[in-house]
Amino acid sequence: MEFFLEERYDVIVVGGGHAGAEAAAAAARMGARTLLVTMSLEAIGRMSCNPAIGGIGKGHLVREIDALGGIMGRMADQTGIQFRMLNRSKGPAVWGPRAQCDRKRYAEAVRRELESIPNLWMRADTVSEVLVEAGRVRGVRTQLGKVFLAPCVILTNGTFLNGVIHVGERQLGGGRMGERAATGLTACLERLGFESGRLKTGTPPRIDGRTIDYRQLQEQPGDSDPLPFSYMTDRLPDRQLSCWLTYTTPEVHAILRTGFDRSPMFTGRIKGRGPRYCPSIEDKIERFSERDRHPIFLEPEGWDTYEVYVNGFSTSLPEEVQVAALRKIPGLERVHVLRPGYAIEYDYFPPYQIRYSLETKYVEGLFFAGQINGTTGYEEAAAQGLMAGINAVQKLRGAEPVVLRRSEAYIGVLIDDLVAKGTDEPYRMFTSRAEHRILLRQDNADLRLTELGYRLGLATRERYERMLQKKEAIARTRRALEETTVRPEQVNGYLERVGTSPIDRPERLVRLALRPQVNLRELLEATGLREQVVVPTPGMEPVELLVEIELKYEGYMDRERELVEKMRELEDWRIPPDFDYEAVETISKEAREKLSKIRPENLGQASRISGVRPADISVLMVLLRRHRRPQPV
Amino acid sequence: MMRRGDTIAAIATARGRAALAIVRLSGPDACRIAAACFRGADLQTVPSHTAHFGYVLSPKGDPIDQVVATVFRAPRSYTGEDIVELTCHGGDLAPQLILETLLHHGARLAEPGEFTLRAFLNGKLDLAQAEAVADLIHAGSIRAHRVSLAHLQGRYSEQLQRLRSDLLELCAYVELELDFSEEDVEFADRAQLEALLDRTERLLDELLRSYRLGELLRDGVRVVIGGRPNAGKSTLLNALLGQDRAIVSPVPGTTRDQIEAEAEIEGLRFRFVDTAGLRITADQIEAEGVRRAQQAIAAADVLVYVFDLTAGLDPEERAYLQRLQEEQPALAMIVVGNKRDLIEGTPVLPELNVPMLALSARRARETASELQPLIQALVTVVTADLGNMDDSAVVMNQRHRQHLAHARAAVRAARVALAEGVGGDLLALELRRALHELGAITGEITTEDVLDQIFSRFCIGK
Repeated sequence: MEFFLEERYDVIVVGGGHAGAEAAAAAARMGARTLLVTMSLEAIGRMSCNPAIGGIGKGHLVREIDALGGIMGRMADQTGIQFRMLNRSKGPAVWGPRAQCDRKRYAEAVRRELESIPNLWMRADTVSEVLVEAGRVRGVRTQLGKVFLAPCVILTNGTFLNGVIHVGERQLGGGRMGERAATGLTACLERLGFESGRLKTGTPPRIDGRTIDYRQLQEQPGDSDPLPFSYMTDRLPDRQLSCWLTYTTPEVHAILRTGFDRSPMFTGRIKGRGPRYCPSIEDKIERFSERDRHPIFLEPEGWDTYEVYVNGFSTSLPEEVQVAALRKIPGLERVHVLRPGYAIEYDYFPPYQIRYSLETKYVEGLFFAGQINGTTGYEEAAAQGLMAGINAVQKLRGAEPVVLRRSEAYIGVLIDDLVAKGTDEPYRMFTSRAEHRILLRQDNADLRLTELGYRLGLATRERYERMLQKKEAIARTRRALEETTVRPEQVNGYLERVGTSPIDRPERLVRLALRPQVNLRELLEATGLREQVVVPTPGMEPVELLVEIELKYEGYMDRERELVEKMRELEDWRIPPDFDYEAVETISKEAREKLSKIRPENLGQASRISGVRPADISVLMVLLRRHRRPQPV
Repeated sequence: MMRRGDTIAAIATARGRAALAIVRLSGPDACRIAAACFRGADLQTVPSHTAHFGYVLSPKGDPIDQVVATVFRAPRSYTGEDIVELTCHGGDLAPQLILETLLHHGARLAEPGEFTLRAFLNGKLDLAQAEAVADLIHAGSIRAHRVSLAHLQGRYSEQLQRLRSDLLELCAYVELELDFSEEDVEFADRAQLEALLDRTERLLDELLRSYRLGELLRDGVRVVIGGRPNAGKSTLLNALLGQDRAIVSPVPGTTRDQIEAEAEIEGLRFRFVDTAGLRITADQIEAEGVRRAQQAIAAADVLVYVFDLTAGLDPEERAYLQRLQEEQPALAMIVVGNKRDLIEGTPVLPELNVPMLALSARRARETASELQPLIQALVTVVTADLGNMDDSAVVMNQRHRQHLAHARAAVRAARVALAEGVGGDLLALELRRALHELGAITGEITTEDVLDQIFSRFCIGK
């Protein structure tokens, strides 16, 4: 090979989206000389779809990324235009922080953040080839013919690999509207032995906010007491923008139907599989024909733009049908469309081909993160990018990869699901995917992960100390609650107001806090004991809220931890890496194939592979037990 | 490593005097090993599921016995491997010699339960079915046999599937509200959830209650025959055991020393307990007699109390029975007035709130129908509180009972959680616990299953 143009790095990150940005930031912060290669530096940190970060399940991921020392949470806090804690009326395990962000400022903030990291270098170019020698990655070659060398390469290509955009009967190559697709890389990876697949996703039209009749819409303001994503954020923007709600009508549906015969979805031109939980409006009408309306959320794109995102109206119907249908939606009668909705098809690499470290199985030093692994969503991508960045550096250090357990983090659930179960539709996080949901709350991500991030050299000392302070404040506040008693006359008024029985002798605060009807903050305010009891801590989350969650959930958490311990037994059954599944004729063919393909590291992982039945696990257990036992001579 | 499993052999039928016995071989070399000692058709080439007459030859070449060799080829066999069954003459000698010959040719003596283990490992049986085989082998009565067979055929598994889909539906409703609260979908209201929880709990209750029947089927119904001396207990017991249809066997062993005899009646196994030494008088009996009687009765499912119609039930006996009813409400009681043949006219039966009948145990020895009312009463009291249980849904297995009981506890906790209005995350926690317990019987139920339910039922996606 001709390496006269070569430049050497420790880690090369291909792609500057949410996965690439986290990967590059993490690798560089952990001390690796890192190169970020992306087609357009202006597109770094760009949100391709909705202008929002977080949500139910996704918000957990953002807080975990932040707790480990990633960037997404801080970026969203800085550029948010509306903050809401979703599911607030449900239990705290499923609270989901979400922020609408200023699309332009978010991307700028990410770029600025990356530029502030000394070890991080950028290059605008398109990678067309991954260079491999003897099963090890050597570097990449770009379309401009430049070669960059590194022992670790992280691919975060998003929807760009052979991306094809569909609007009605029109098709054009592209990774996002107005941006070129990346061609050549898929073929290169296939030559290296990787299997690729095709997925599809879609995005709705963008409209001109000046042509919306807001009087007909329902306002959805942000929270009056907004909470941040980042444990480092001390204040959020003072002002917030509202979103607006309207609905489709039967007339809208009728118009959309007139375009079905030209829909790339229904005519079969799109082969890739789309996400079931994020269907296009034509899908919703077709599959749930009994419903005569679907909600449409109009989301502002930023402080200084009138562009508005039409959430709920993802479509790839011909543009004239989109426009005609939009104009039948109440409030949008005069709407001007800035950009039509479209569907995009792209290549991904089914994730059985990666390890738990996100390193690929076939090429040492090559990592995949983000949509290339079959996920969808900024948060899912960022989480993988972060872990790939961490594990690339761990590899350089000769250290064990960092693999988070399902009982430790949503990130662990995400990667375990991908590697063990695979996915044939774009994978999105839900809280119901986390069986230990009660332990993995968004409020305690720092308590779960910051120490790890600090040990890795990723989370700053300041972040680590804030976490310790918070822990201390929770413990001391809790002790104060246990030690402080209130007299009936101090508290009975409040107790009766919230519908719980009054007390007739002095009672410890903690006993009252445990009552389901009691809100600790209100209780402390009603009794005037807040100052005395609550130990202040940095950050915006009130300590009494954290203490209250801890108190009320303690029993459940203890039980869950026991369950985790029990499940751990299976995790402790390590399977030798060269275990010959094909020779085990006593397990089902499907299980044999899946196990050979995925090569789980232990029985716990094996048990979560779809198609592997409990009986197969019993067989493996019997065999592994034999395996362990010294063979008789 | 179980690379290509070895070939195992065992005598599959019970030892002892019998017309026929079966020696079974299972494994990749079953046909080769059988062929090596078989004179007749070439067992290595004959088609599957065919039977062949011939002789088994000893290693020296002498014929041991005339046999029928039946060949089942993998995977269409019980274990999923090649199987050869050699049906030979019964008794101890022939099967033993044949087995030794097979071992000589390379088979290994099967460990207890190994054929079933292989069937399970080869996916021929699921866990519930494999356990049913064990129960089938131990089944002591026709009805228990039928229940085990129902399990084996998977009907019990079907019942569990129904429970599983109910629970999944419930979970889908709860999770929908947690993960998709921003969506414009109809969430289940409390009444709907309560109704679903009710249905699930009822199903679990039914299965759990059936465990009692399962227990009775497997272990037999313990019946104590009590009464004063000379009331006719022994005659009655002999009459019961002397029924043509009854299989009578003396039960040896020290742990069962209270049991006199077993009999199968109407497809149920009864274990009759000797209380010959039991003298029931209100206060003047020896301590030892009282202790033994109490023990026998405390462990009994049914007490058949016999009194002499010519003497009538005296007040002491009546007081004793009433006390027993209060102290041991679960004990089924039948009061029998004996010696019907010795009195004239309609017998006067005491007023007690238990099934009551008059008969002549002595006459029963000649006339079988004399016992019919008692037998009916016995079967009725045993099955009364079990309701009209379908045999297919009877839980026979202790491990299953435990998981089902835990699942029910979780469903109940979910109900309490719902009533108290706690967060959906905690409600979901209980439901997952129930799913997890059920999964231990039916196989893992994943979160993907719950999401599939949600996506197929609700319009998700803003």
